[in-house]
Amino acid sequence: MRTLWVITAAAALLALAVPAVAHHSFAAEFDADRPVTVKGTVTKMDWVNPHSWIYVDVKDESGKVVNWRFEMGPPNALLRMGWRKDSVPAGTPVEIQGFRAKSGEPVANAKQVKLPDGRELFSGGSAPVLPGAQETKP
Amino acid sequence: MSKRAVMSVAFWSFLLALPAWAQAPARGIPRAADGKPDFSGVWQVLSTAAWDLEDHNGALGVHAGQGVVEGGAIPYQPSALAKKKENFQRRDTNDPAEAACYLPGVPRATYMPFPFEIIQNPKLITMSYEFDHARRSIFTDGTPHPDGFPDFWVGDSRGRWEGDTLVVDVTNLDERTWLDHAGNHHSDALHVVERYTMTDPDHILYEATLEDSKVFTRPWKISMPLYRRTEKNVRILEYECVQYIQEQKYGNAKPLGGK
Amino acid sequence: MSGANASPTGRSHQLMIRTLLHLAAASILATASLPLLQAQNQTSAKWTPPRTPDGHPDMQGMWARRGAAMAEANAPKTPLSEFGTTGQPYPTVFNTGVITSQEASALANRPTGIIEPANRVLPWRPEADAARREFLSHMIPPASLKYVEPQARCVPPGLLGGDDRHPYQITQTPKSFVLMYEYNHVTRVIYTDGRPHVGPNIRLYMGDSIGHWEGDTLVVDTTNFNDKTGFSQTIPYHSDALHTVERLTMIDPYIIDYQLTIEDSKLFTAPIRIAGSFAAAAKGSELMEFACAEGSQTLPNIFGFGLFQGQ
Repeated sequence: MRTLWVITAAAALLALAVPAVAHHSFAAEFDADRPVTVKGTVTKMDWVNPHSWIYVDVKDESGKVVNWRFEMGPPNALLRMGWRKDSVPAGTPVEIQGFRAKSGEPVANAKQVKLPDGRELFSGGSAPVLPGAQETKP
Repeated sequence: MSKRAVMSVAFWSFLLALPAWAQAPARGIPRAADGKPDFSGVWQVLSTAAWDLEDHNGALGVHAGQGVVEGGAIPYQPSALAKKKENFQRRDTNDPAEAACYLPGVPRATYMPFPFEIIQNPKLITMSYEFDHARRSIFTDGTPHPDGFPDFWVGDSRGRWEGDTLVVDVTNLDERTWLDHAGNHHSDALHVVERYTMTDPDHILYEATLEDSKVFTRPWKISMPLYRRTEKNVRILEYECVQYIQEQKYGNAKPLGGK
Repeated sequence: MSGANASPTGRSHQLMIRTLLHLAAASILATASLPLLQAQNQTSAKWTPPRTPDGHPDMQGMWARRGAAMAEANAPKTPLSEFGTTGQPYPTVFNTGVITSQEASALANRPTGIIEPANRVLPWRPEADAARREFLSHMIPPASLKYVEPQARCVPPGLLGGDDRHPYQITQTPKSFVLMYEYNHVTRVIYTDGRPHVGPNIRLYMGDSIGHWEGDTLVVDTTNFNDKTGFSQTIPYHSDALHTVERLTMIDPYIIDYQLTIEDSKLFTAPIRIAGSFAAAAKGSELMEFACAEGSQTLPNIFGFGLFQGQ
């Protein structure tokens, strides 16, 4: 059985003074003023750099099923946390919070993915910074 | 001892020594601190396999070549051969390496018409290619292919030495790469075994065996020399086709939407 | 003392033995207390690195770079910088940093970011500062391809434009010191064989690096940059006058001290110095492929069309 590792406190300590540049044009593609939360069923996952994608079938108010696409972190990050190719198989129910694409399509940048057993992938929010470390945000 | 006996001893000694001679490692090749042949340096192929692995004629922008496939033809299954012909018709828009500057995969990275640098360390041999600054890490530390990993454009490479030959086992190859610009292709079942053997200080014999049960009827093999780039202070430079293609396709385009 | 060896030679012999025993005891005690002294960082016994066959410090292995960022004071506020760390969808550390809390706190006390000028107000040429503010104003949303952030275009990152959540690997050969970035699979081969820089018309995203050792510090001189890479969210480009000097010194088994001096006479009136560290990555880490353009949806999302018809 594969083990999913949550980021440990030690790992959180390591998050100091990482440059803030690396968000891959989030601001150009996604709208931080349009948060969205969807519940649905995983149809597939693309292990792709620089962002993995998770595809989720979501029923809208009228009962119609729309396939949403969520942008996530790079597979190297997932792999180093212990995730493997078959960790989130098709059919897994998930709840995903994210920010909607500016294009209006059913595309979003995932902030948080909650699995059926309650575990979370990618906690969002600001990077924790140790006291004394130089804040790199301008 | 009589002269005759001496001659006899000499003759038999010669005969008995022959097998050792036949297998003797290439003399005079550079060796690393651990005694292994030292492949460090800048290398490049002169074959035209990048355009087409099989025999092919010249055309505008295409260099003619005698094929590098042992036996001549790539042994496709019938439906895979049809796919190859389709690919060939659409090669100018559909070849991932030429149309989009995607990483060329293995073994194509070796025979792209660009130099590459081999950086050798006892536990890691790194291939740094000028084309799209592609890079392969060949782990020679005895570790196996990792379990449950996704596919990579350059695959996962684990190497070991058989005498003076570096043998590299490559798996996890992304199915989207093409083997050349002629549309020769493979599936996610592709498994490549490369062999690098230095035949003299400035030449490496490169061989690769490809097997893919979804596409080919049997394993098949290619081979070609790698030539050392001997210019003084030679280094690889940059061929950043991702940027060149972006300029060409998006340089005059207008963005959608926005506030 | 027994009377068994009461002769004059016997007594001086015994005296010698006692002295030697005392000396031995004293030196055993001194040796035993050395680790304690080292732990208190008060010893004169300086840590020395393991060495490669040619006698230089062996810095080979997997590393996480921390702190090397050009975060200027009084930076212009732009939509880009507003979203810098908020909405960050994935973890800030990819499990490649130091692995004990002792090492983590050692890292926390190291200098980071711009250390010269000390107030982090960069010595901009006024016209260069005005030009980059004008440039920034067209980036969100991007007015055209040239205003899309370099990272979103998968540009080879230069020295600071990458993503340090991805690790580095160092390998050393007799003729080169090689710094491999996992990010965008770029490889910097820093030649230490005494060769000169390439000619001035050769321009490279990663520049041309030559290195030499000053004692146990590797000094890297890099020139021949093109002008297509960026430094930070508020400094989206530099000029082709860029010249950098890096100094790498391994100070203990877990930390390489990293100092970067930047000179760009078209942008700044004085050099700028940045400090950071390479911290040893978790055991068993391997460099993985990071294929940027192959998976990036950014440009298709911005412009509404993909460039590759084969998909």
